[in-house]
Amino acid sequence: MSSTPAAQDHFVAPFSADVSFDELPDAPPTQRYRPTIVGWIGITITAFWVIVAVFGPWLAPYAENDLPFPDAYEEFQVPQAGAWLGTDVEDRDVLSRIMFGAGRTLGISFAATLLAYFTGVVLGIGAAISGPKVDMTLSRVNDAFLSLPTIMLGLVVVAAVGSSIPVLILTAGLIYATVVFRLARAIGMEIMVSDFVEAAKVRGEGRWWIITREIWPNARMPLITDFGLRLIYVILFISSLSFLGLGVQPPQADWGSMVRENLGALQYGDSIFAIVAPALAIATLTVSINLIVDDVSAHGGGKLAKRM
Amino acid sequence: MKRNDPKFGQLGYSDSEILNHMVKRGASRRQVMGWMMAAGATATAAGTVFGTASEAWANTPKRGGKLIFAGDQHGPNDTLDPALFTSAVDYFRGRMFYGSLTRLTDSLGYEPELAEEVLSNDNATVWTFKLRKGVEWHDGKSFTADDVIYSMNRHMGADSVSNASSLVSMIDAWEKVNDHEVRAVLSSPNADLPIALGTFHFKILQDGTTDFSTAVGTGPYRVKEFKPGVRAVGVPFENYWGEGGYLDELEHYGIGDSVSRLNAFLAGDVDAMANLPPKAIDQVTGTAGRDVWSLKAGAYINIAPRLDMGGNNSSNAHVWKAMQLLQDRERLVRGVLKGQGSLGNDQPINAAYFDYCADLPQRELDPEKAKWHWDQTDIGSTAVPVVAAEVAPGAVEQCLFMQREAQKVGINFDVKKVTTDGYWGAVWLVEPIAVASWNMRPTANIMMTLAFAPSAAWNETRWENEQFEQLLVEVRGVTDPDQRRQMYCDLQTMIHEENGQALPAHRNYVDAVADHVGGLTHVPLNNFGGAEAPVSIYRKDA
Amino acid sequence: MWSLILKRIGIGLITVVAVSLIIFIGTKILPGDAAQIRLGQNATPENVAAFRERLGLDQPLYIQYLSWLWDFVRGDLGHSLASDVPITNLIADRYLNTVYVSVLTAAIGVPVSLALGIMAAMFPGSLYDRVLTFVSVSLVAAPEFFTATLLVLIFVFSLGIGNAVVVGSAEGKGLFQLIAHFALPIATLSFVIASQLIRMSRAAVLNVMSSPYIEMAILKGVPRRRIILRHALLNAIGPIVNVVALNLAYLVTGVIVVEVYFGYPGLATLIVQGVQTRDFILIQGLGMIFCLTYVILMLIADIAAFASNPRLRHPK
Repeated sequence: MSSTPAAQDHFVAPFSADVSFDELPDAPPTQRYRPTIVGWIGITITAFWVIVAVFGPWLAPYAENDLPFPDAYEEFQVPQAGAWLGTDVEDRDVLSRIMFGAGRTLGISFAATLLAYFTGVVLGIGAAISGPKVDMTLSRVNDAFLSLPTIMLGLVVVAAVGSSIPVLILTAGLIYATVVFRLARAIGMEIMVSDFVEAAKVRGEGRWWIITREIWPNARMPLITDFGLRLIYVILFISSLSFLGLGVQPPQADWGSMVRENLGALQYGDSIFAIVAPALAIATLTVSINLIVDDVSAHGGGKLAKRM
Repeated sequence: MKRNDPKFGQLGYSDSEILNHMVKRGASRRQVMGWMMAAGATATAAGTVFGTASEAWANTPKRGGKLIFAGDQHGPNDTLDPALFTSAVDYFRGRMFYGSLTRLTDSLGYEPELAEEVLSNDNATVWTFKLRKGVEWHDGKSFTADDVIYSMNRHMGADSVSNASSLVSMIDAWEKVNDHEVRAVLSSPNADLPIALGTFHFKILQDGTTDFSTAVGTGPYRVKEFKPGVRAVGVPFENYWGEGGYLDELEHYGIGDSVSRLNAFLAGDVDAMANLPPKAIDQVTGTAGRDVWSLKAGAYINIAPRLDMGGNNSSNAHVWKAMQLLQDRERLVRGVLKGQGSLGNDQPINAAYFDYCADLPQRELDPEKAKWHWDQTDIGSTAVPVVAAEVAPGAVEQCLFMQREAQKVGINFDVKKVTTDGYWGAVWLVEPIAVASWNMRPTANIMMTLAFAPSAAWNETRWENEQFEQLLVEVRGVTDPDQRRQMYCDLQTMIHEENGQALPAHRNYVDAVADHVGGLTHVPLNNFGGAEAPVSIYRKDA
Repeated sequence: MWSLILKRIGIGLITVVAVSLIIFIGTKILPGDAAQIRLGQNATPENVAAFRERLGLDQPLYIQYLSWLWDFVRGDLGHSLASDVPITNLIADRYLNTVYVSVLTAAIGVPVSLALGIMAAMFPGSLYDRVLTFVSVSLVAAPEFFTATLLVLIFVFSLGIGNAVVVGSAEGKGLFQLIAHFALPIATLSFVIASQLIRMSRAAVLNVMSSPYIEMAILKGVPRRRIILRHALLNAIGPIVNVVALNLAYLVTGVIVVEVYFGYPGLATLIVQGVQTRDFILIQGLGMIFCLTYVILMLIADIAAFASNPRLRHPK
């Protein structure tokens, strides 16, 4: 969901991986990932949206703020020649706005999630391998931000500096970095206290070696699976900001704000495509990412459970 | 009465009171006609008047029942302090619980309320208010002149926090003549003073009130519950001096989100909603038992540039002209407001105002001409920032439409949308080019004084036009109708030609109400019939 | 174990203080201040200055913060800058709404979600499992206001049951009346948390299932259901309680969209309104309450984890 942090602390199981750390060997499994049919479905849909995101602005029939029927003074028109998915609340072409919106939605959430990951993982693993003082400070500051409602934080930032795309990326990125921090730290801590790391320390290996050779290979699986989910939450967070009037600003198209501004279609529109199309777009994207994530994590381990 | 045929709605106040009284007491047609003809009316007119009066009596409100009214934004800063009223939500509650000296009518004239009689000297510099006797406060005390003096003084002086102090800035002092008479002494003439005193902020409080956690007023309802940002509930005041307060309970709160508000209304969870999104009008009229409650008003949206910023460059005048010529007024009125409004002509007075000047030619969308003006400046294709917020329907759209039209001729605007909270404090009057939304005022003079006089705090453009101000003050004392008309036309023309703000549309107040609600008012100053509805609403099915 | 708990409490308190400072700084960097906003369009600079003095906003920042902190520690939350109403009144008017909705959602949504997730773990890879996973993933995909709209359309407008917004006051209502009063918000929020809880409980149980002692139980021939209910569940409690606690915190602090959509005032709306009016007294007080809620919930989660998994009582 959009404003929930999902975090772990001390516990072994990250979000959806079926992997137990007690089970991990010194080196992680190295088979290549072969997607199952479910995975392929996920990959196809995601790839489709990525292509739309990249090439959308060129392929779209209209600019995102153009009126297909300037003399009509209508809204929510039914799909017809010239507007294949109908028009929206301001009589603009839904199809074009979906295509422009793909780039914006995917771009913003991807950038924000990357930022969240980069910051969270670096700080989290850093906290895990550093001494208690650093760990304590970072964790407390992080907890402080975690305990505040995300929407409120978003609101404060937008109220202070306005709502532009870089601001949205930074805000969402830093807010979710807190969650990733917790996760990365928990994973890092578990690995740090495991036998093979003890052995490495005794051997005299330096921190950097431990990070690259022990921590990262073991941590990357749960972190990557979490990335997919984090992406979804970022998309939803930004659409909740749009609900409150703070997200992507008009006339720019973004799936979350499109769902918000076209809510009226369900009540009084001739056509509901204006709201169904962006909602479906969000849904298919998030489902397909999840399919990939599930497929990858199923590949990673937990074979016994599968055999039952 | 004079020797011309009276119509029911135009009877003087005391005359119509007598008439109503007679009808209610069962006076026969012959008796009423006899009385009227003795005063000089013809038989036919008297007959018609009697017919209308009887009809009105038949539509008398029923007592009982409960209604829930859903306004727009509410929050923890809802207040029961009339001087600090800022929103439609506050105004509605003000009318539920308080009374004022005068009450405004549908045609924006005034009626006596707590002031039985309103008299002025010849040049409208001394106003005398004879107060109604026998009026009780909710706590049983009696209403006297001290209460009026106390309430009015809160709006005076440099340290007043009242939102409406500019409307009474020409008053030097309020004087108590006796327990039931007060006098206002003005430093300059103001024929519209009684009208100003009928507006929202001039509600009468008990002498010495400082605690506004509840309201002790003279209004038709007493406070049963008041929780700012949650709800206000009123129950009828048994000793209300007038006709009103018919419901067993009147609840009022805000549903900020327009979709939720509409859902609640259509589902029957609330009996009336404020600010119906114009695009949903068809749906409401098509739903059984639901109706649109719209008032033709002079409220408007505009894009106001600060004339004193950006160098006192004469080429700036071309920028403002271009912005005016790029306004897609048709689309705002027909597309966004769905006809619930009228084309704006870059000045604030539209046909809803008495002093509207119809001679002014309507400015139209003309991108080519706009481009010509733009080329007289050296801006070229650099983006000009415009700040907007959703302060009213169309406020953001006016900028977006302008942006769209401008792009077609190579002019670029950068529309920065900000949140509505804090807009009035931090953005409006501060940014070089920003939008605004204005409510209608009772008279053109009040409207122009508030927004265009050089000395006004709300002169958003900082327009310095002494000639305009002189004319504005002068016309307040003019009684000859032709001269008055000409002067108001001049004033509107001056704004239209020289002020520079783009004012593309006027909007009506559009609310929605269930069929079983009767007693609606139609004062075009705000939602819910100018917030006057609480007095007269009743349930038809009670 | 007790020392651990005490340590947790200590950490929690530090977090709470840190939060108050962060909030204070955060509100002070916002443009506009409470006096300006309260007086609105109208105010002349003199009006605003006079009002600012009345609200105490003209004092140096550190004095504003410290005097607030001193009051707070003594239990005085102060008066709202936007309306002079005591903060405790504002909270008292709204906390019941928040509490009822979150408790009822938790009471209804949590057990159902957990049961569904555990059942999915019992039959991994089965049709039931796949369908449930798919459904719960789709639930995550919907923004809350979209789910809410769909529920309103289905129940209120198509089936004619329920209210589109929360009507009237919740005072004096019995349990079933409360559920009816808040029916749609509870339903919406249940869907929102269900997706996370289903996935989490499924993953936690499956994860435990791959441990060696479970393998032992399988080899011993213990029936699957018994394994899960008797052995696996106990070890899965830790992560499950953790996620439940987080969701409870969300139900108290993060549900602004649902509150706005269904038109009932709760604590989440209050804090957002506080930001909008730059009412830093309100924001501080409420922020502290949220933080305390979060800290307490996480403390409970930690205790449950310690209780169920002795290994965690001895951190390295």
